[in-house]
Amino acid sequence: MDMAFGEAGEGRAWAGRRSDLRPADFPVCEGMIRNYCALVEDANPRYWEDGESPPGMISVWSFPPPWSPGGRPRRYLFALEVPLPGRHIVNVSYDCEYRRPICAGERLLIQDEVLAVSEEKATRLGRGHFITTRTTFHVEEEIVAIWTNVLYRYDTEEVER
Amino acid sequence: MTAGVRFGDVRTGDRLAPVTMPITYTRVCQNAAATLDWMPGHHDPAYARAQGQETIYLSTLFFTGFVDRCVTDWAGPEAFIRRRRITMTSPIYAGEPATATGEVTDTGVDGERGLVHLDVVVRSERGPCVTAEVTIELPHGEEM
Repeated sequence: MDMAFGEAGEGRAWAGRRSDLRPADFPVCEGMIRNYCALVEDANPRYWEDGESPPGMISVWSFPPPWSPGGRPRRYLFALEVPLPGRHIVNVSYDCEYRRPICAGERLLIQDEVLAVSEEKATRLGRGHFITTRTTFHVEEEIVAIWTNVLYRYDTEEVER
Repeated sequence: MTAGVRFGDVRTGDRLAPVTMPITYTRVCQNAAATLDWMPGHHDPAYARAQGQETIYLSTLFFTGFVDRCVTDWAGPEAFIRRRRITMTSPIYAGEPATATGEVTDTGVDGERGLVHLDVVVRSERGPCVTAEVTIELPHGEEM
């Protein structure tokens, strides 16, 4: 799994760090919308007939394709740029506020920020750090959605021993 | 999906029709492809086991869409998801069914829009796996 590695102190110093405001790798498009609706079997005509993007997939528009001709794509989550020792990740919570629908043809602008990196905590999976990030989605000057995410970056007990 | 509900008819305690979906290995791989989430735990069973999981499991962006679908199947296409907070407490693995249930916890008004707050839970056969709090907007007026 491609992620930045480092000591805990180095990772915790990432709190407050922001990415540049960048354009999405591709515009909102009907093919991806329909694939997503097929995944969850959502028949909503707003998505199938009007080209509206399901709110549940907004984060998809912030992810890079798994390969691109320009070389290694950036990591798909800003949280993976935080240097920490843990070799595994699991997502813990996802909170998104939507200001208006977005539609096929719109190209989002995206900015990420690390809000917090916890001290080391033990869970049933192992020991590691909780990383809280906020991703803001814009269309030109307008904010259309704000996603706050908590991800656990950890090592299993076997790895620690 | 149904034609939906009228905001004026929604009451606290109203329940969503449960939705069950079998989560096959194909569905979990489809999850990775449809969301561009290629974290290996969502398509590589050996990687998932090394993580401490039983096998590959659904990703967060399955649950966002599945929860929304359950809500809008009930509320109808006029509904707009304003906010959804979900917490993952346990994975749903390939080979398990996922069942969503939900109910209205409150209602309110914001200008021309009616607000409906709901709690949704997604379970496997082992118990609750994902909890969600959702706020939707519905048209608030005589004409619908």
